[in-house]
Amino acid sequence: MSVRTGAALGLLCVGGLFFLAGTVGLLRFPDVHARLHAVTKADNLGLGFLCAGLALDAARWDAVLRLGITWGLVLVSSSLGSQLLARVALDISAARRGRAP
Amino acid sequence: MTTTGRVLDALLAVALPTVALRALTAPQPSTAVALFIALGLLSAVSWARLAAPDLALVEAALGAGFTGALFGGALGWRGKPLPRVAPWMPHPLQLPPLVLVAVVLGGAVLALPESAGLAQVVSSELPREALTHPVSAVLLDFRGYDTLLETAVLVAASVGARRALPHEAAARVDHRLTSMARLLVPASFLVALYLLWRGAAGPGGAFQASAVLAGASVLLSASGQRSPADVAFPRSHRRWMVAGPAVFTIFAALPVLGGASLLHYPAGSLGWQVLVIELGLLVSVATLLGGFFSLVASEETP
Repeated sequence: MSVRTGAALGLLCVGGLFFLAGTVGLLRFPDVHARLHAVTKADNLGLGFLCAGLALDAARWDAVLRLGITWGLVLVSSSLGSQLLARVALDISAARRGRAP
Repeated sequence: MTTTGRVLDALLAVALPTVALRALTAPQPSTAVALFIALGLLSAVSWARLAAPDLALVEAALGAGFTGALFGGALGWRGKPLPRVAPWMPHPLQLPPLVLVAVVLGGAVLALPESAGLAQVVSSELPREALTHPVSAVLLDFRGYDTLLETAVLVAASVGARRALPHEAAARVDHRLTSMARLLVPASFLVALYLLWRGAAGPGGAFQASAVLAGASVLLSASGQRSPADVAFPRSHRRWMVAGPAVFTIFAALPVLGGASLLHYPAGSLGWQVLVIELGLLVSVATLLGGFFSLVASEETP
């Protein structure tokens, strides 16, 4: 196994660990907002390591570019999406508190 | 098949029915919709495992993404608390017939004779056409008539939806979604055109591209950036919707005037004819899918 493939495998494993951490956070954190932190940050970092590992092992240079663009798009959409989810969760809890006497 | 492939397939075989069951028995509709989106993504991965990248693309874009957006829009994910729904539980008497049907179907599928399928017939016909990707060749050339009629069915569905649902209301402007749209909508156009162009030689094509554009249209609708003109004059949508079937019908009917049969592509002109037809399909399907979302997601915002 060449150094490059070994390094790619290592990066993939690190990415997998981050995904595991994100999933544990998703299951164990008490609050919607804390869970959003876990899922957005840990999972996106895990995806970054995954893309880096796949880019190391890629056959062509434009595959590296496409992986980078994919990671960038996921970063943008997940960060904005988590903001929107947090806003909706705030509104729902405010409505519930408003209704409860 | 490698070991990792087998492990992945086993995980998918366990995960798909589990997620489907959880989606059906979820107590809240929002949970069910989120699980439905996850199910769509898992299905896309399983299509990729079955070496069907075109289907995987459509499943991920339309089945998971766009249909999830339709459900979410219909439920009103804009801050209203959602009502609790009783989860679906099967009646004990319903289970034996269900199990019986599953067993009979599974046995029938397993008992099918070994066949190479139509792949060899298709690939033997391919070299004389400009489309080198077998799926695109089947969709637009060998079975082009089916695709033409399917697009007409989609337009009919859109007309029916416009009759059944109240008129689209403009969402209020959301600045976060607007900044997201500023980045993602031009990127969607690029990706859609790329998918359209690649469809001739690899996985891609008009339907995948239009799914990406429909996503951009959903983003624009949700961010409230549609101009009042679009709301006041919805006829403009109708005009673009019929572009696909109209272009396809024109290209299908032209050979008849020259004495050949319907949908006969003259030799050598297949490439550009298919490109124009696919562009028409792209505009048509993207417009009507975006129209579906605007219709479904129209409600008074709090």
